[in-house]
Amino acid sequence: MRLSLTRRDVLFAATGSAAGLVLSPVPWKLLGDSAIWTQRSRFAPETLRGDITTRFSACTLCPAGCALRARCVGMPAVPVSLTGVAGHPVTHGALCPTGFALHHLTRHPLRLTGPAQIARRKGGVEATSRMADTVIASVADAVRSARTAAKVPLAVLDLRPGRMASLECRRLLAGIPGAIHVVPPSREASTFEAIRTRLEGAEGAVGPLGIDLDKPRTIVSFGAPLWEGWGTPGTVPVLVTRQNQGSLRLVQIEAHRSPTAECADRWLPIRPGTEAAVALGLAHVLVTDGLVAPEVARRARDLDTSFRTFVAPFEPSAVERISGIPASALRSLAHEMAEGSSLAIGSGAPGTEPLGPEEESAIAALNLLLGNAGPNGSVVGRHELPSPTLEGSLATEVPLAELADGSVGVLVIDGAAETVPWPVVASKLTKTATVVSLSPWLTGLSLHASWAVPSPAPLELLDEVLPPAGAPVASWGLALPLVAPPERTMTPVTFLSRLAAALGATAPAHEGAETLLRRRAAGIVAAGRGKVFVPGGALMAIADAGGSDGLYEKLSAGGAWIDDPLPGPTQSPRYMLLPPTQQEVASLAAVATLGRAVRQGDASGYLDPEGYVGATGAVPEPAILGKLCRESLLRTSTAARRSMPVTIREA
Amino acid sequence: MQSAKKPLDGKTHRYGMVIDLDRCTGCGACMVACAVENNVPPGDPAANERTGISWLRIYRMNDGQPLPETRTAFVPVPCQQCGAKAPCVSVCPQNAVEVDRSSGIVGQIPVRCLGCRYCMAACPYHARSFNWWDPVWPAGMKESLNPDVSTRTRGVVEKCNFCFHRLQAARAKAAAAGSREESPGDYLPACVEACPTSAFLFGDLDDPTSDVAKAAEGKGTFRLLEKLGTDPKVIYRSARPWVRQMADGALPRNGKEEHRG
Repeated sequence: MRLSLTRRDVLFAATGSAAGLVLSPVPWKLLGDSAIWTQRSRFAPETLRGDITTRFSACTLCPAGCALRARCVGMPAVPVSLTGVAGHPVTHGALCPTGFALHHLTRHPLRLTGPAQIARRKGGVEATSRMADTVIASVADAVRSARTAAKVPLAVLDLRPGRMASLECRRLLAGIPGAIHVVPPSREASTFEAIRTRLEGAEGAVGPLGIDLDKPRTIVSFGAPLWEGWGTPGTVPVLVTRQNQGSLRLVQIEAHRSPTAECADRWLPIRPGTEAAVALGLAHVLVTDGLVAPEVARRARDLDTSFRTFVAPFEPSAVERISGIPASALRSLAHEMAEGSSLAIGSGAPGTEPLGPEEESAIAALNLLLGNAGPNGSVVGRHELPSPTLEGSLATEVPLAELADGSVGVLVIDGAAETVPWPVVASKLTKTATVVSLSPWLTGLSLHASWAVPSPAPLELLDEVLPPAGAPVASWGLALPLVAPPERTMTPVTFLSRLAAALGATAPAHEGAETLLRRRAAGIVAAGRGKVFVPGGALMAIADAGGSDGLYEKLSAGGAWIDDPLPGPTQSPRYMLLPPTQQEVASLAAVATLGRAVRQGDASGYLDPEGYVGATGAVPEPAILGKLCRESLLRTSTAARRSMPVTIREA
Repeated sequence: MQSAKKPLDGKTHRYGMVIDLDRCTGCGACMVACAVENNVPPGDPAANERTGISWLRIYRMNDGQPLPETRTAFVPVPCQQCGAKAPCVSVCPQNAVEVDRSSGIVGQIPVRCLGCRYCMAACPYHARSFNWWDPVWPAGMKESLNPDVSTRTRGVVEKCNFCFHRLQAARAKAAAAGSREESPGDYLPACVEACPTSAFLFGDLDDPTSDVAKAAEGKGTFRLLEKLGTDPKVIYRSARPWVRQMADGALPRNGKEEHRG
């Protein structure tokens, strides 16, 4: 047989080889290896080039207002990394994890770069870009319609009240008939607010309160995320240092094992929603075992009358049945608290909800019993931040809780942090209400809006930093813009100014953010109190700051003004231990006896938000935080919820 | 990395870290600051604690007591910067792991790496990460990348190098000032700078006057898996005995390990 090679054989061999090669691992291996070969190629992201500069600003995502040192590259400068400011008297150089990635949020995928109409469809929320004039005209029409249909035609919910920009908004709103300025309750400050209410019942006007963290030897925390940046991340190093030195003991009373509970010296797991019962149980032991200091007993007006009767049912054994905490543990904790300087803290961040006014009321009574409002107490008064007056009248400021349900026709939400739950906001609206969000992101409360008019994000706007909640002294700083905002964003003041013009109101001339802030600086210099911090330098007296312009320049360079402490009281003030009204007393008794979840009629239990939020509310999560949430089990995402099987079973 | 040769003046350092576990609250600030500083991309949606990239990972451990008496400690674990017997150095066929003799820092050179992952198998501390996916930054985040650190692509291994670029910057600053020696305050890794509770101490372990050297010799210090003889330059400190026992695997574990998969 003669072997012959034909053209057909060659074609068969070539076709077979080609087909075999495709089915072999070789092409796929080549594809994989090309990923290695293309390192440093144009496929790899390139980094910015240019001069490196250091600039200062502050994070205004939440009221903590942590000072920032930014490393910027190029011109115009782009921040590439952020750190805290070492030696800062308020933040102590600390930042929460979100703060380290704040510069990523200006370009977050959920960032809104211009006015938009928001529609909720099946499966998600859509933002459709609109012209600013169209949005403002639509909102103005809604306000006109609401004048007849709603009790409050226009309300601005200011999620960061107290700024000069807030005052400017109120001045603009004063020109619009029926418009009001609404302020939310402060989560972190609610413990102090409850104490202040009791003091005011007997003493008259009382200024803002804070805590002196150097004083308490034991902190009993009712779910407050102290180790996660409660109030400000700057408190964490102070508390951790004291705990390590053995001069502070933390007892965490909380339903779930939060990061703070993990770091506490003792964790007392309670049934969800029974914080009020535990606080009253501790008060019961203090009263019945004679652990209340004589000075406190003399000053508390209702201790031997109504309060003693009120706490009588909350014996440790009864509280054990309600909360699950053994009676012996409750009794020993009360004795430990009475032995030394102790402080009870409630409320906190969204991750530790829900604590309502009833729980805060019980915790306030506990603090007063422990003498915390007295000369050696941990609750201290502080000066108000000097605030210059603006020319012209201001719109009425109304606390959100005092706003009537179903009364608001058009609500403008100024701010991004979801410090107020949407159901609370929604209850204040009419059925046909229009909601306008000024948040830079399509997250949180803005998901419920009809219109979005995004304001510049933090790091894009000149802003100010007010004293954080719970601070023992007032402080002030500046947040300077580091990057230019998107062209189609507008500040809340500009939006309200244009809305007022569309409504035919005479809007007063806007002075500009810098002018307003310089007026605040002048007010501080005029007050003549406090010291000025400059990065890398020592604290200097306000008199040496070089006047208001000198103070402003120093704050622009990363500095901060910190007030002098108020002299403490020489004797215990007079106060009431129970809430001022019978309705509040009855509500406290009901919550403490039944537990919050059961009282709310939530027979299916509730979902407890547990995501890591640090000191911030629900702002968009920088993608890099996935390192903590997805790529490690260190934290859960802000979207996480934890069901409470105990609640469900009990209910 | 710079050249592995000795510096001209012959002066060497042994940079190291002391981590006080009693001060660590597990906040994760160091992990985020590290990722931002070193251009570590956000993980692929499918990434988990085994496949995601972290140059510094915080582990949660407990003393095994039943709840609620359980005690927790958080252990930040960067590359332990082993000494002369670093396991990853000897196994690398590409010479992509190199020790800088002037600083003692064990560096990874991604452009040399061929992705065999022998070093990951050799590392007893699980301190190395492999790029399973192409790095993807959300739109706009590319402009925020640190210009001092090269980005890496799919198929290479990466790990902590004590922010070596910061050492280079400190050396450049010193050179500009006419000095051969970087100032200790000019060189701090991002995690050390970020820690809100000052749990990290960093410096030259060979300088007996430095805080870190003093802390390393202090009471309650230990190193992870010390019995392996890898001579890590990351030293831990805790006053709690059970934490120290856990470091050498001496404490029996009970209960489920806290990881998926």
